[in-house]
Amino acid sequence: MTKYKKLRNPKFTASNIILNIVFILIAFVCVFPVLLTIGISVADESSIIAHGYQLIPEQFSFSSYEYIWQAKDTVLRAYGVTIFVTVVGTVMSTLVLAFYAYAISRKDFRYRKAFTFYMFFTMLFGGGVVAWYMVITTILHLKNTIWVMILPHVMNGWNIIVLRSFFTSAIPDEMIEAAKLDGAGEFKIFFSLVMPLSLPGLATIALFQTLGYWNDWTLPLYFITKPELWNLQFLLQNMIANIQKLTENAGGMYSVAQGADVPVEGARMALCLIAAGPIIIVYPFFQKYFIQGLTVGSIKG
Amino acid sequence: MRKLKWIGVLLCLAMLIAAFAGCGSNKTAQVTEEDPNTVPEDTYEINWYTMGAAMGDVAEVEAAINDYIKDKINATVKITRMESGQYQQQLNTMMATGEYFDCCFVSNWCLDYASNARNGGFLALDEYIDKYMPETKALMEEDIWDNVRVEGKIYGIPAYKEFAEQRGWAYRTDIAEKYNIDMSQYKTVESLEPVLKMIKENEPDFAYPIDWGSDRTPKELCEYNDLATGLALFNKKYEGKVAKLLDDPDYINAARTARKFYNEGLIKPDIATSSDFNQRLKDGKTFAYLEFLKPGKAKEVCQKFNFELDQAPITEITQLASAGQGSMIGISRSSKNPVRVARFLELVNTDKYLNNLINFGIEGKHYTKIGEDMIKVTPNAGYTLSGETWMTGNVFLNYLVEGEDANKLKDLKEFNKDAVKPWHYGFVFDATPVEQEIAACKNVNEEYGKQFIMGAVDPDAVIDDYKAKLAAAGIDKVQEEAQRQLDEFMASKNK
Amino acid sequence: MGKGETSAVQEKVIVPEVTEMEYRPKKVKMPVGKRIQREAKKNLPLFIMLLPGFIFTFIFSYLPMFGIIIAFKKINFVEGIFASPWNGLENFRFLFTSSDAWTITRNTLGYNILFLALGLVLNVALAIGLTEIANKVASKVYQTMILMPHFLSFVIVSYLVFAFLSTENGFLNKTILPMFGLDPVNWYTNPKPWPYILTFVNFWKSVGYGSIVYMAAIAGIDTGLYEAAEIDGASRAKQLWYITIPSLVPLMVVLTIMNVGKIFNADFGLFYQVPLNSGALYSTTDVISSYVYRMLAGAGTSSMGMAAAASFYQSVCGFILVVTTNYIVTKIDPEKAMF
Repeated sequence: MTKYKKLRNPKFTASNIILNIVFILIAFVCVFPVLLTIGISVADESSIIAHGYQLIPEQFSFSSYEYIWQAKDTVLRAYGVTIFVTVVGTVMSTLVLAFYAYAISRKDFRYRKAFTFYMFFTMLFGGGVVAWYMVITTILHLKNTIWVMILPHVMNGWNIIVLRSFFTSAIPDEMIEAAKLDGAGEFKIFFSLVMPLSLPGLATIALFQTLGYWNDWTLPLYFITKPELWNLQFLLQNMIANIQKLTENAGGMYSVAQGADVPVEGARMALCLIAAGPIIIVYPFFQKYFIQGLTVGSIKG
Repeated sequence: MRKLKWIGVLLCLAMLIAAFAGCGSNKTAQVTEEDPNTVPEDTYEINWYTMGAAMGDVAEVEAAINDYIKDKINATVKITRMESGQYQQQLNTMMATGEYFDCCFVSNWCLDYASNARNGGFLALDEYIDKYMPETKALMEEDIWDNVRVEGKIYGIPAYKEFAEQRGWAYRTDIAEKYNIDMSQYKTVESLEPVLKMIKENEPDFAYPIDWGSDRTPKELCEYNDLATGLALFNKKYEGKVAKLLDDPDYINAARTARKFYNEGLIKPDIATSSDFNQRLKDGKTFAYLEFLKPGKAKEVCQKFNFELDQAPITEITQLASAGQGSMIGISRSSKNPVRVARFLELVNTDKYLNNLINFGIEGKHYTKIGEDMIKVTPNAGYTLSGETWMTGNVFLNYLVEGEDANKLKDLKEFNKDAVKPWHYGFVFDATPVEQEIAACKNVNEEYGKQFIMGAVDPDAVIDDYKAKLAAAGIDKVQEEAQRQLDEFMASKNK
Repeated sequence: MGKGETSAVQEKVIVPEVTEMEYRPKKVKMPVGKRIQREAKKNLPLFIMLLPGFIFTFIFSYLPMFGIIIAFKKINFVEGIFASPWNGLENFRFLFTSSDAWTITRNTLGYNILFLALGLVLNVALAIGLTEIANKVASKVYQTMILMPHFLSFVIVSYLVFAFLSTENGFLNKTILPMFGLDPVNWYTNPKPWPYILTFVNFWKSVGYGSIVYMAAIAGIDTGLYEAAEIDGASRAKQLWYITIPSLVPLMVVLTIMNVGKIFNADFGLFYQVPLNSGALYSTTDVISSYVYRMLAGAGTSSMGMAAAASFYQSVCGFILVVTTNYIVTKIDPEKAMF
């Protein structure tokens, strides 16, 4: 512990320097694609044609962003949809998940096994996409409503398990017993005792859900046909489709999209950044909760 | 085990609920007959799905349509537009699951008309046509109605438009004039090579002077009619025979030519994956491409471009057995009031005002009139189907768009008259017995077909694999079945 | 499908503990009606809490389970799914006689096993590396950057990949390959490099996230062990080899076994979005989930039948694997069993 350790100050050992270099490389590889995308989005279309995609374009131009600005109504609307879905979805699902997880975390609740298994089974076996689609469209009639992008993702088995582990480890049984003896009802216990104590866990789950809702493109792919209900990811996917699919397969006849000359290459990447931007900027601030939540789970496991 | 029992009970419950909630039972609504001459008392909303880019002012146009048809058939319309990929996926799933909608665009190249009709996705329309669409019925010859029959019944209303096809070049007028190029001389794709090289050299803006779209590849000049994936009936050879495309020397040659162009840098290197064909066309970096022609086609295409296109037909004007199936509107089995939908479609086909309202939007806002039947589309209009009017009913009611030939509609009729019918005219392949093999062949084609014919791979290097995979997918069985049906057809025809 | 993208690693992490004890009915004799009444009253608040989750699960997970019957039907739109005639194993026969079944099974299993094995090494190595870095601030910064891709959706990832691989303008074809004097490659039509590309993209996106669990486990190792080793003069490398890694082994074993249960489920986003669904690449990119989706979107009832058959095959094989692996876990370490 002593002399030996002091002698080799780990900051300057050869292995530590190598390790740092390796990690700088890895970290660079991780962020490089995003930097490249930024480069493409501010490149002049002619310089892309001449030199391909470059990190630092020969000629700068903001025409891609100008082009998207022309379509700002569409982009802002998609942003609105994404934000609404994310906020409402996260609040709703965090609450539903917390209730469920709390109930099955209570050791004195007699039916906890049954309800755990009820939820757990859905993680093992599913009925397939066709039937799922039919339930949502022909029984619930949710197609082309904003709710169809929220409700199917409210329940999530794994998040329940994370939360349950959190409740069991963060809330001692005796505390609940004591509160009960004081005459507090279950809901009072939940809101005034359990929630504050398990805030980090709830924050983690809320983050998971936020991420899930923000990044989702599968639900609109299945259920949204009205362009005014497109979310950001789906708009982005349609940008490929717009160029790729609209114009193709039209055996002998086709239509041409309207609009001025489009900086195709740059605009694509600019839109991609506009969609990814908020998450990239915001996540470092929430990273702590993210890691914490996962860690709680792992220590438990 | 106790748990599993529990789950079993739950599953049964789920099953029952699903069954009772009507999941999957696609029974048609009770048809209420109407008197075609009176205005019904109840308002019905018609949910109409069609293919194409979303447009900003759809709601406004809907309102105008609703105002107009209220006093005629007391209906309103709700138009949903989706782009091709999503359109097909959505509509297929909607039909399979029995989801409600009223009518939609369908054709033999989009939404697989025959298969969806056979499976009961669409209503058989014969009675509706007789009773509620007499004028539409009279518009087209019996021949065309026969074209769209599946197992003897009509499942889609063909758009009244050109019913023949002819392939050839569409090319930039300015460049052709500048270098004095007579495109009608170039009867094969191969022969165009020197011209393309010359343009590439002299015009730096035309880095890729020729371009392929997914249906506009060198094979277009081979003159055959697709029968099923990989199988074809050639218009001028192999009479009485179902041929495999990969066994045809002309087809292989087309692929080799494409490869040659590819290697010489005359076409875009990522041609097989970049499918923004129309965008590239519009950007004006292509001198020429292969097009399905009809009178005025090039002018129709370049309506929204800032340069002119001209056309040079190469192949003969041909009428195919599937001519009527190129563009149709089908009425869904799930429609709650097919009668009203039929009456609406009758109006679309016969009422000039309504037809143009749907196609070009509102006068003064989306277009201005510059002649009696000639209009100018407002730049960046929030609504216009200009260039795609062939998807909505009778094109002979359409206004002409500035720049189009005044005789276009007359020429179109001539065009229909001039068409010759190939030896296999009238033959319709019933794919049901080999549906699964066809699905498997389609899969193989998705893997090889596009880059093969576009030159992105060396055809001689992959052809053996390609053939072997098709064989494994059961193409021979499809060929046998098709040949059997063809023999029967030819026998009955020659009687 | 239809699940958020967040679940990938949580799955590995949390292992609920379940004991059989409380499930047994207690042997208290009391009139049944009264007992139910008492139970209901006692548990009412908790039942109310469970209710929303119960309903959501029932609607979105249990109701669709009737879908498994579709695989045995010859679907007819007129009759609807329930009334369509039974088809026996016809859908399966066709699926398995086509070459697709082999391709998608091989790809699904191949990629997932590769991801599992390589993931184990990479996640642990990254976790060890990050904890070994002396400067904690630097370590945090690295981790933040490495974690970044996890937060991007696969739609966005597909754009980023396209920026590199585009045949015409891609960074590889225009900048990197010319540097080495190599010819441009037509990435989206050449299936050969895709196993490497997909593996790279997969780890690029997931490795930061996958290492978190192991970092937590390393942090939990008794520091006394290291101190003792230090006194004995063990080098850092030896400490890693004899202390750190052995302490991680139990976690590694359990996570791996549990993930084996999921190797029939390939990430739809990775295999569908990243290759831009390019047909030419199917031989190395098509997996069961992307196949099912494509068959569903295709027209006709036979492709629907094949979609249903493939989907059933995936569900059932997955289910069997999960149950089996769970059984093995019970044998090794009952605490970690899922049920």
